[in-house]
Parts: sequence; structure tokens; C-alpha cells
Amino acid sequence: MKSIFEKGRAVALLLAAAALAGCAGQQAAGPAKASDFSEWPCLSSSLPCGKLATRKPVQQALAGPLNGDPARGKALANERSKGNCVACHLLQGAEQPGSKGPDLRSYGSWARSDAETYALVYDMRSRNPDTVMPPAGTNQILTDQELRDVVAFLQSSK
Amino acid sequence: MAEPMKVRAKLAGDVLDVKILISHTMETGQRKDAKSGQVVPAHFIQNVTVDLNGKTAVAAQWGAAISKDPFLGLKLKGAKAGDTVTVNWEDNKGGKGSGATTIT
Amino acid sequence: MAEKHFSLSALALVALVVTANGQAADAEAYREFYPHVAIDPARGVAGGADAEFGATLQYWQDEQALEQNKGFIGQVDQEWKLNWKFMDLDRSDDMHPGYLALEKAEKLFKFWVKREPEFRACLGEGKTDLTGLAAGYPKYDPKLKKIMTVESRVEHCAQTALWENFRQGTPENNLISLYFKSLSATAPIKVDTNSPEIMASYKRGEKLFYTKVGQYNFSCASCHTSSGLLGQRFRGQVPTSPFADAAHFPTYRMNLGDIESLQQRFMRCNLQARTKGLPPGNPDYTDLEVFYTVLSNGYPVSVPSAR
Repeated sequence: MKSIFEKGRAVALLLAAAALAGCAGQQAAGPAKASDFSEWPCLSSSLPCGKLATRKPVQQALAGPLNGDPARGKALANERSKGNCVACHLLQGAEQPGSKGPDLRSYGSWARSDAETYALVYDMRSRNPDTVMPPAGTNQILTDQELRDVVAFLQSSK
Repeated sequence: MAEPMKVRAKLAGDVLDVKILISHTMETGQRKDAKSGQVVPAHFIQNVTVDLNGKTAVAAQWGAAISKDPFLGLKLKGAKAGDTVTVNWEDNKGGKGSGATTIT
Repeated sequence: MAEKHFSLSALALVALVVTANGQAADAEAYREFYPHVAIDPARGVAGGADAEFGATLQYWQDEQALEQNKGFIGQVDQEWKLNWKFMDLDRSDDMHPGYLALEKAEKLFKFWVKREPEFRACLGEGKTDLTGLAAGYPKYDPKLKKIMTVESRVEHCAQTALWENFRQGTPENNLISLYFKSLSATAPIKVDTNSPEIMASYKRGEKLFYTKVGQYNFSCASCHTSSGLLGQRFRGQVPTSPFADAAHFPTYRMNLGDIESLQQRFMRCNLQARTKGLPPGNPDYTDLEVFYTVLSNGYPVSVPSAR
């Protein structure tokens, strides 16, 4: 009798783990094309999106060497549907840059590591919980490779 | 296109500040109707003339790039109180419109 | 006996985890809020003088201020301080397409009132003279037991008096709302802050203003407070103060070539900020509109306008 108990509990735990893993997998899948953004928290008190949780701040480590392309990163930083960094920051070669964020035109001479830069672009809330800056990594605005490209662009901005 | 055009002309020294607001759909011919999926045919003003006392001071050739309900502002010299500013337009479908104002 | 009991709980545990679906289910979901700036609803538009909201009131609070500072017009880094008020009413010389829309609106309104005079009486809640009435909106309607905006009043009266479907956000609703509001032009906005229903809505709307949402994790406050993007260049534009903003709606939008209501603007702004846009008339947008309009209390209704 006892062994059936334990088996049952083990199975339940396994199922629970599998469910959790499956759910985590869902979260990593990202929003579908032409999304109406209902997978993100919204202002409605009645729709399901009104009950969704905001993704918590993440301190993301940089895995392996950077391998980022600065030219691609520059394009991503300027592209409105991508990083759109230029909306708030002065960047090299930017047209109509924003003025809210720090001037990043000489970021490459600030001697910040790739890892630190990557973590901040991934989720600036890891440094400043009240930041206005969107979490490009945590909220999947940019992919891992795109983030690396943006970091490479910043590090090359001297 | 029976909707009126608005024309204002203000004299400041010897410079006449003319402001014209025309009600026109200015369809580019590129837009697709959201419901039918059909392209909305082009319907836009092609010629605009601004006359001072019957003599053409400005003639403009417009294209599809001019936006809906277009506003035209210009300055003229050599006008005086009592003069008449007349505006005429014609679109690609043969539609016409006109407006006028007298300078006070 | 005990066996069955245990495996049932195990099943329940699995069921609970499965339904959680990666989000915080039964527990209060983690949400972020922009740091709150205290606003006193009793001050109305005068709250716009505070540093946290750009302190721009001094530049646009009346005709004299606008005249004194008209040199700002045309300069990207200064123009925003005028809160675009120079584009309202006939300050820009009666030349913006808001006036063309108003003429259209007047024709439409008169057509329907001629068809059914009850439409006018419904809009006026019994009064046939509609002058100045729109300045009191949004307001709580005790008969309908809900907060009514100008647009929802038009929708309601079109249904009951005309048997027509002028839903909020449609051109007909926008035009008739525009006309109704124009009959209050220059009258000071007076949302009733003594009404408990209005203040409950105000508080809900205020909370929404600071709630971070969407893929960008923006709140309204992220762009419309000085610690955020207010007064800063944001991709070629400069966000402005929320104070006195509700006064010029519904407005003629140049980029749309059409009239847009305040709640339509909320929807489009949400979409631009990668957040789900709610349909005009949604109760949460109505709460936001109440909050927003209280921030315009005391400022004149500035319709027709163009942006």
C-alpha cells in the first residue's frame, strides 16, 4: 500500500514538473505575428489580459563570447519595430533621436563590459526598478542575437 | 463637393497673408477600402489658382501626395484694402470648387 | 481510504499547476506601477503648474499667456510648452479642418433633430437648450446607473430616440459629439468632484494612469510625467502634460484626416505602446477619461480643434 502512495506522489510531482516546464516553454515562445498584444498585461479590469502578470526584472548573464555584429546592431537600434533605442537615446548616426535616455554616442569609451551592457539592454530594471526603459530581453522585444548585435554596436560607438 | 472653402486674407504692411482651407477627400488611388478590399480610385485636386483682382498670382499643380482637407498658406505683395482674392481648384475627375474674400 | 484521499490531493495539485499556465493564477499577479505623483483633484487644471507635469501652465493658461509665448510656435524644443493650445478654437485663424468637420457635424445634428426632436431633449436630459451642458461631462447618470461621457450620451440617445446605432468611435457619433461639445466652447470644464461615483471612477482611472502595461512595460505616466518623457524628445515628438488635454477632444487628427474621440485616442496610444487597445466605451477607458477630464477642470472647452 505504502509503495503505491509513494509512486502516486512521485507521478504527481513528475506531472507537476512537466506542466511547469511546458508552461515555461510557452512563455519563451513569444507573441504571434500581427499580435493585438493581448498576451501582455493591459488596462482592462474584465478581459483576461487585465489579470496577466508583468514579467519580473531579470539579471541576465551573457552566455559565451559576444559574437555581435555592430552594423546589424545599429540598424536594430534605429528600427522602430525592433529596438527603437533611438526613440529615447542619442546614438551614432541617429536621425531624430530622443533626449530622455543618456547620450550613448561614445558608449564604447565608457569601458563597460559586454556582460554588463548585455544585462542592462536585456532588462534595465535589474539596475533601476523604476526605469522607463522597456525590457528588450525579458519582454522579447529583441532576440538574444539581436541584443548581442546592439551591444556590439554600443561598444563600437566611440 | 458642395462644402465650402475657407479663404482668409490679412494685410500686414504691404504683405498680404493668405490662408486657404479646402474640403476635399484627396484620395491617392493607392488606398484599399477596409471593408471591400477594393482600391479606392484616385480623386485629388490637380490645379489650384489664387487670383488677386482677377489676375492669377499663384498657380499650383498638386498631386496625390497632398493630404486630405488641404491647407494652403501664401504671402503676396502689392495688395491693398478692397482687393479681392479668388481661389479656384479643379480635380482629376473634373470636379471644381472656388472661394473668395475681400481684403479689409 | 487514506490512499484515495492522498492521490486526490496529488491530482488536485497537478490540476492547480496545469491551470496556472505559467502565469500567477490564484495569487495576486505581479504588476509594476510608475512612481505615483500626488494630484489634488480639487485643483483641476491648476495642478498642471507642478514641476512633475512640466510646469507649463504658465505658458498656456489663458489668451494673454498664449499671446506672450507665441514665439515658441515652430520650435521643437519649446512648442510643447504651449500644450498645443494655439491650435484650438480660432486662435490659428479659423483655418484648421476641425472647422470643416464642425460644419459637417452641425448639418448632421440638425438633420437628426429635425427627424426626431426627442433626440435633442435626450441629449439635454430634458433640456432643449444644449448650450454649456457638455462642460459638465463625464457625469454620473442616476437613471442609467452609469458614468456617461459625451460620446456615450450620444450613443444612448441615438438608440433610444432615433433607433440608430451610432456606436462610440463611429464617424456619426464623433461628429454629433463634436457638435454637442462645440455648444459649450469656452465654457470652463466642470466635472463634479463632489459626486461619489465620479470620485470612485477618478481613483480607478488614476491607478490605471500609473499601471505599467504592454510589451514595452509603459504606463501613461511613463510618457506624461516630467520624471518620464514629458518635455523630452521621443522619436521626433515631445509628449505633453495631461492637464487640460481633455478640453480639445473630440479633435480633428491631421494624420487620420478625421475626428477622433478621447477614448479612441487612448486605444491608439495603447496600440502604439504595444498594449491591447480597448474599444471606445470600455468602462476602464471611461475611468481614465474621468481622471483625465478632472485634470482639465476650470479650463475652457476648446472645440473645434486640430492636432
